[in-house]
Amino acid sequence: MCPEVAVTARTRRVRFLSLAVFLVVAGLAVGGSLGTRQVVSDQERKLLHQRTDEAALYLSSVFGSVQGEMSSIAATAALSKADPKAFAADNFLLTKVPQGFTSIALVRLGPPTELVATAGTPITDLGSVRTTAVNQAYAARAKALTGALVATPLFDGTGGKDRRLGFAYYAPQLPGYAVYAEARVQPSVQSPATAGQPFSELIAAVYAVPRVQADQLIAATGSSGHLPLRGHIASAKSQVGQGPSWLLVAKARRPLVGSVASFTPWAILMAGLLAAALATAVVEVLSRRREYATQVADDRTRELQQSLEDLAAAHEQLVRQERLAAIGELASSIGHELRNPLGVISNALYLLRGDVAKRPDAAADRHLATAEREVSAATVIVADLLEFARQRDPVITDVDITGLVDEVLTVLPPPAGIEVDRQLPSGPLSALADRDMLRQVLLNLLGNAYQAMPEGGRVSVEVSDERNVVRISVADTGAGMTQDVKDSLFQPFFTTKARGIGLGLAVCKRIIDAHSGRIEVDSTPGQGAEFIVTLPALRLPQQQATDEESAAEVQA
Amino acid sequence: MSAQVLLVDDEPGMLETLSDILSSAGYVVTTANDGNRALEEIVGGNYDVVVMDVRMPGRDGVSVVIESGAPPPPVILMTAYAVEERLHIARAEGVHAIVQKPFAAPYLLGLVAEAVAA
Repeated sequence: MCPEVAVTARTRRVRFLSLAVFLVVAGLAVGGSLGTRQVVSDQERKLLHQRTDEAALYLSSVFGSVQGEMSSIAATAALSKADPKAFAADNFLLTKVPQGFTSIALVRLGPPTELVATAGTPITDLGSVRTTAVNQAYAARAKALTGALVATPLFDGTGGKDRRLGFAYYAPQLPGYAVYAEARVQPSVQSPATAGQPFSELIAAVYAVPRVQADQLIAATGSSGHLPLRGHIASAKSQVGQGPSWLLVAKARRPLVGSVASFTPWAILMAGLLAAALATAVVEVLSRRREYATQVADDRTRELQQSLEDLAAAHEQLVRQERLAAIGELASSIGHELRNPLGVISNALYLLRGDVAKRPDAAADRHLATAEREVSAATVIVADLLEFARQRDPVITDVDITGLVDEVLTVLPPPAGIEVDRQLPSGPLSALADRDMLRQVLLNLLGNAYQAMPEGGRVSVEVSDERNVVRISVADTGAGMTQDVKDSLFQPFFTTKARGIGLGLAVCKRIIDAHSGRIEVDSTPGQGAEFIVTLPALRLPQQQATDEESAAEVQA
Repeated sequence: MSAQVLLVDDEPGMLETLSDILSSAGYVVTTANDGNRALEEIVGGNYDVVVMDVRMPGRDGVSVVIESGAPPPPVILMTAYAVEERLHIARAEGVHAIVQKPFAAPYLLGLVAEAVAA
C-alpha cells in the first residue's frame, strides 16, 4: 500500500464533506431568506394596496366637501331666484379664498346652455368641456337625490397657459340652472386633497381620467419628474361625483412593513451564510485534526513495525554472528593446535628424506613426496582458516619481497614435474606490508598454481617495482578457468578443487584489500592463469623524511 | 669447532625431531623443555644461537629473551600462535627471526646458519 495515495484520498473526502456542509447550510440560509422575502413582499404589496385604497377613499371624501360647497351655492342662488347680480356678489368672496375656485358661474340649462352670472375670473366662453360637464350633471340628476356633481377632465384655459378643472353641479332646488366652478390646477403644489395622512407614506399621482395620462395629472406628491410611476405600484379609482372616476397611482415612499421587516431577509441570508462558513470551518478543522491524528497514528504504526522488523533482523544477525564467532573461535583454536603436530610431522618427513637418501628407494621417495605435499596443503589450509577467523588489521613493516618469495618457495617447494621460474629484480626490493599476511597470500597463490597443474608444468613468479607500486605475479600453465569461475573466485567457500574449503583466495583478497592494493586474475580456458597483486606505494614516515631530504638536496 | 645451539620447546616431538635435524646439520644441540631451564642455560652457558618456542609453561620465549640480559646470543623464535603483542615485544628486543610453525626444515637451517655467521 502506498501511504501517499491514501492520504490524498482522505484529503479529498474531507474537502467534499466540508463543501457539502457549506452547501446545505448556505442553501438553508438562501431558502429561508427567499421565503421571508416572499412573505415580506406579499405583506408590502398588501399594505400598499390598502394604503392606496385608503388614499382613494380620502380623495373621494375630499370631493364630498366640494359637493357640499356647491350645494350651498346652489341653495343661495335659489333663494335669490337666480338673480345674476346677487349670485356674483354672493360668490365673489369665495373666489378670493386661497386654494379656492378661480371662477364660480351660474349656468342656465339650454338649449342653448348659457352663462347667467360669473364670480371671480370671468368666463367669456362656456366651451364644449364646460357645457358637456353641465349636461352630464343635469343628466345624472335622477340618480342623486341631493344633487349631481360632475368633474370635467383637465382642459386648457385661455391662451393655453392654465390647466383647469371644472365642476358642474345640478341642484334640484334650482331647476333649470346649474352651478359651475373652476379651479387652476398646479400638480406640483401640495393641495389639501393630498395633504392627508394616507398620502404621507406614498408617492402618488392623481389623474382626472381613469387612466394614466400625463396632461390629466391633477396632483402629485413628491417630485413630478419621476412620473409615470414604475416598479411596485398600486392603483385605485376614486369616484368624484357622478362623472368619470379619477385614477390614483401610488408607490410606497419607504417600506410599509417597516425597515426592520424589509431588512429581515438580508439579515437571514447573511446570518445563514455566516453560519455556513463557521460550520464549514469547524468541520474542516475537525476533519483535518482527525486526518492528522490518523496519519500520525499510521506513521507511528509503520515506524513501530519497521522497528520491530529491524530488531528481529538485528537479533537474527546477532545470533548468526555469535554462532559464526563461536565456530571461528573453535576453528582458530583447532588450527593453532594443529600447527605443532604439523610441524613435528614436517620435521620427521625431513629426517626420513635424509634417511631415504642414504638408501635410494623410488617407491619410498614417491611416498615421501606425497606426504610432504599433503603436509604443505594442510599447512596452507590451517593458515587460511586462522587468517579468515582472525580478521585482524595489517601490521605494516618494511618487508623484503625478494626474501619473502625465497622463503615461500622454500616452505612450499614445487612438486615433481613442476618447474619454477623466478624473475626477481637484481637488487633488494622492499614494500610496506604485513609480512605474515603477504606470506599467506604468496603461499596460497603458489599452492593454487601447483594444484592447477597435476600433470606438471611451469610456474612463473615475477616481482617488479613500477614507480613505487610493487607488482607480484604468479602464473601457471594449467587448465585456466571460465568467466563464471573467475566471477566467483574470491568469494569465501568457493572452490573448484576436490580438496580444500575455498578460503584461500577469499583470504588473499581480504588481505590485499586491507593493504589498499588490488588482486586480479587473467585467464582463458586452456591458457593457464595469472594472478597479479599490486601494492600501493606505502611508506614509513622515517623513509618519507629521508626521501624528502634527498629531494631537497637534489633541488639545492 | 661446531656451533652450540640451545633448542627450547615444551613439545617433546618437536624437541626430538628438531634436535635430530640440527645435529645432522653439524650443530651441537642442547635441549631445554621450559623457559626457566632455558634462561639458566643462556645465562650460564655459551651458545652461538638459541632456537626457542614462544608459548611454554612458566616463562614464555619472549620473557626469556627479555630477561637473558645483554648481550644475548641471537635468538630464533618459533610460534604456532599469533600473539601479536608478544611478537612485537620480541621484535623490539631484536630477536634474529620469528618463524611460523610449521616450517620447512631447510628454512630453519638457513636462518640458524645466518645467525651463527652473524
